[in-house]
Amino acid sequence: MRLSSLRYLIKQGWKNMAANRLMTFASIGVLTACLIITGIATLVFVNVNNLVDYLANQNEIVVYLLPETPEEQAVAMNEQIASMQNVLEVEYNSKTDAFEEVEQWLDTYGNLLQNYEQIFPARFLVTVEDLNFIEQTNAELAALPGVDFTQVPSDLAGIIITIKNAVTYGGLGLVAILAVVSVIVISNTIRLTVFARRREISIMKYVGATNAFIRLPFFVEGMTVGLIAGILASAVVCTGYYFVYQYLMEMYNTWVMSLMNNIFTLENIWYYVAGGFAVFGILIGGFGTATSVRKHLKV
Amino acid sequence: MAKKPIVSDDSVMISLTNVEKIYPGGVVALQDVSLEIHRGEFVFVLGHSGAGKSTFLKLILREEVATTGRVVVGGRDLSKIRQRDIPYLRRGLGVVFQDFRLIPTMTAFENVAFAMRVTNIPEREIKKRVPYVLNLVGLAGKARSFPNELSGGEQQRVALARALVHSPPIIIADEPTGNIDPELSVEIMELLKAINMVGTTVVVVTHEHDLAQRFSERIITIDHGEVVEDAMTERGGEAL
Repeated sequence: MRLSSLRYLIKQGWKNMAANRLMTFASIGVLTACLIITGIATLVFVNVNNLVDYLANQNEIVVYLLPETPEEQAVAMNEQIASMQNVLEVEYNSKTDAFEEVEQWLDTYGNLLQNYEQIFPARFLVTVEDLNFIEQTNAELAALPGVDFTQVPSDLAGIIITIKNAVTYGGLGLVAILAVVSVIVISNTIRLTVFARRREISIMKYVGATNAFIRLPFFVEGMTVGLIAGILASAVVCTGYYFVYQYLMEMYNTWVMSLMNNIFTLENIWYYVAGGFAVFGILIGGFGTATSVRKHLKV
Repeated sequence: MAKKPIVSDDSVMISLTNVEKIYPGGVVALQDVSLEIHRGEFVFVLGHSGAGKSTFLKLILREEVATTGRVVVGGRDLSKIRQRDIPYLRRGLGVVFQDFRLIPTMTAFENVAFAMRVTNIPEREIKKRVPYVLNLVGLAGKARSFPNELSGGEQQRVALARALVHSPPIIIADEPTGNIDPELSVEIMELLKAINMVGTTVVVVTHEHDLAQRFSERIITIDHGEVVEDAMTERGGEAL
């Protein structure tokens, strides 16, 4: 296709938008609303997921060794555990480390532990990669030679898994529903444009325009509507996100503050939001047009 | 690369062989139609409303496919033509409609240029060709007029200019005088005749018997989906 033809078709697409401006505004409005909800759902999903991961990382299996397990065997076990499936991190605390930790905790009463340096068992603090398999990993760790017993916070792991699954599936479900709604909105706009331009389309067919030539302005229109909605939605979501973040930061609540460390700041994500919305808007616009054009534009 | 419009070297421009068209629901629009239209002929297809004229046109333009039989236009068998080749077939056919089918928001120039733009022709060629064709149909001074500023006859001339702009070997006119005054009808028919004189095959589909008698060399009469008469007029006889 010639560059001049391409320019002409792009201009035609924009002209169509201007000619049906009321419908164009309505589509941009509805699509922007859909994208805003999609964006909020995605940001909540991403942040909750990050928080859950953070909480999951606090969720460790503690592997206590038998008192008679020699230090060399423990060092070898460290490597063995680190190479196990589903193990993200392993930290070894020797008897001395355990003793020092308790001594520190007792603070001024630390001297009470004099002559008891060896009573605290050595242990491994194991962080798992996937909480779904924490029980399995725990069983493997408990079966290692030299292990006395293990402690696994199964209940907490269960709660975290439930939250994560709810957020993941709920978020994905919501995004999928909104994506379908957005496609329907675009599809409807294009359907009306096709109807409004049916005379022009029939003339184009009779004078020998190719299918691509007839369809391209509709794609330009759909994708432009998607892009504009994407830009508007990203502006709204980024502004909203900034204010919510600021509000939470000003709460001066220790618990909230500790969680806020795991919430993305706007500076870290605005370009993902803007880029994501633009691409998502264009894709939805293109897909909506394709479904409509195929159904209503028999060329 | 853009394909060239389909043009046959053969002297047969349009050929229908034992064509039958039955629409869903069992309506028989054409039955056992066989005819040939040659290069340079000026043919009227005559028939009452519902006789099958529109179906005949739709088959030639490949809007519809024959249920049985063979339709060949410009050397192309339309039952075998690929979907993506249909636009190239249509570029070889200039079509004029009863209701002109002009775009009301475009000037006469733009309406004609539109036919060139949609076929990917460069802008500089459009600027040369459109005034030339508008001049041919006698509308050189009306290039900037919108359809609602033109009379019915003038609008039909714009439609004719649009049909001519690709220099197609075949012009098909569907009731071209149906929406215009009798005096203007004569003008349009004379214009079609002039186009025919330079070698273009012209097929006029109409129900106006008198017009056919006055201008045609050959009249094909369709009734109830069948060709009931295919005769040369005195003019045609003289010409041959």
